[in-house]
Amino acid sequence: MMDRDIASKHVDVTVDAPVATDPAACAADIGQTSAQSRKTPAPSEATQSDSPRATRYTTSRTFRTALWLHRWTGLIAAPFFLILCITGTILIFHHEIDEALGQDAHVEAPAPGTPERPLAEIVTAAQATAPDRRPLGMVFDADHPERVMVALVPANERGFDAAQFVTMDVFRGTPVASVDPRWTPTGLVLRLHANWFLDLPGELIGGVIAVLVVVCLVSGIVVYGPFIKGLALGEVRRKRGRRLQQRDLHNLFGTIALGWTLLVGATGIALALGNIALKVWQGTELQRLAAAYAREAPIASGHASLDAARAAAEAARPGWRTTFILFPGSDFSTVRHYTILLVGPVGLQKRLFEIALVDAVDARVDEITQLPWYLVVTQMSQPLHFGDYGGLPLKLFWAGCAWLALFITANGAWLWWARRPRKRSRAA
Amino acid sequence: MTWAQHPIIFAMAITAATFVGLATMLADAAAWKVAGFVLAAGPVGVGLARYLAYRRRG
Repeated sequence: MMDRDIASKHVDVTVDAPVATDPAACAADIGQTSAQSRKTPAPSEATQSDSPRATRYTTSRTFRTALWLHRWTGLIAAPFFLILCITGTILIFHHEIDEALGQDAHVEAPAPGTPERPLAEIVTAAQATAPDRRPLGMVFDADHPERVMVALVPANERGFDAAQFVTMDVFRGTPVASVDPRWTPTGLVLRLHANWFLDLPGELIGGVIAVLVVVCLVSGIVVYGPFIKGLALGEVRRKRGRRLQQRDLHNLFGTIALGWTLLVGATGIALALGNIALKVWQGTELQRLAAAYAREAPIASGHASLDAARAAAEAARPGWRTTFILFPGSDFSTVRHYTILLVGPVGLQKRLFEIALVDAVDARVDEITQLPWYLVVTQMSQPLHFGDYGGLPLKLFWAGCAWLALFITANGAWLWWARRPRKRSRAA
Repeated sequence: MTWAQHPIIFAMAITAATFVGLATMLADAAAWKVAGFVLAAGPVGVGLARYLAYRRRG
């Protein structure tokens, strides 16, 4: 009974017309429609040999399971994935949009030879903008060395959830007018895309959607074969009904965009788990470092200068530069150390941090560690998800593939929906 | 055409080309960026071009 039910559903998805009533007939239909439109050499032999093979394949348990998975994972993920494709397209061009909307902080070029202000002075000036908060970190931007962001948090906070970021002019030591990146139009779109405005639960929901998308794609690889038998690449049967035309388009665009969609789906899963990976690092590696230096007293008085700590970290890894300084007492540092994230000068090193633990009292580099594998996966997933490492051509490629994915999702849902009236009329 | 005779192998080959192309583009050198882009965007470009050609032919 169940098999019969699956078979009848299968028929609705696989053939356009005439409607067959069992998988074998369905397979024969596939062979027939293929033969009618075949333009490749030796159609007759291929058709004769395809039909029994197609019958065996389309009635197999593997095929029916894949079909079921493809349909239902696709339908469940579709509304969310549509939103992700649209927001993703906007985010590909977020730099350009921010610049056009004037949301990017702008710093006047300094006179030639102007030295950078000491970091401590910059932090003090930033703190003066919110005296009830304390500085917990500094972010350096390789694309904009003329500015730095200082994270200010409420006095008892150790994390960055409630952080307020103040952009500072590195050469003048003064605050720069800027909008909180979380509240710019692209910042809001990013939050919708990354966590549905729900923080960690939203990230996990995004991860589940990404898993559904990947399952849908993999099952699609198993399912689509019989429907393209006899078709040349790029060929779409346009004169044999709208449904068949849309199905051919679904298979064609789905196949050519498969690699990109799989990659973005898989990296989406990794990014959705990024915060959890960070918490694992905090709970294991950082705990180990904290325990190793637990005998050393917390800072009582006398700090090494921030500049000295930064210089010590960069001297320990020549060629590498500071991208993030986390102050002692944060969720990501010990009570005695600055945690300084360094990025390398070339290739993949630019994407992967090394972590320097610098004593805040005497600017001694106590340890340099590499990222654990799970954070390497998270880090490497970022460029492969956002497509921001190949200039405008790659951005356009990313946007094009996102729109192909959008089309495939929408027309896949339509293919499922469009069979229903016919099913009802058949029942009547 | 290969994709109709070996659909799964064809899909896997396209996926592999896209993966390798996009990974190659992570390198700094311009030559790798161009080669990676051609490899990644090639299948999409060829597929769309052939679709448009068939469409034009009617």
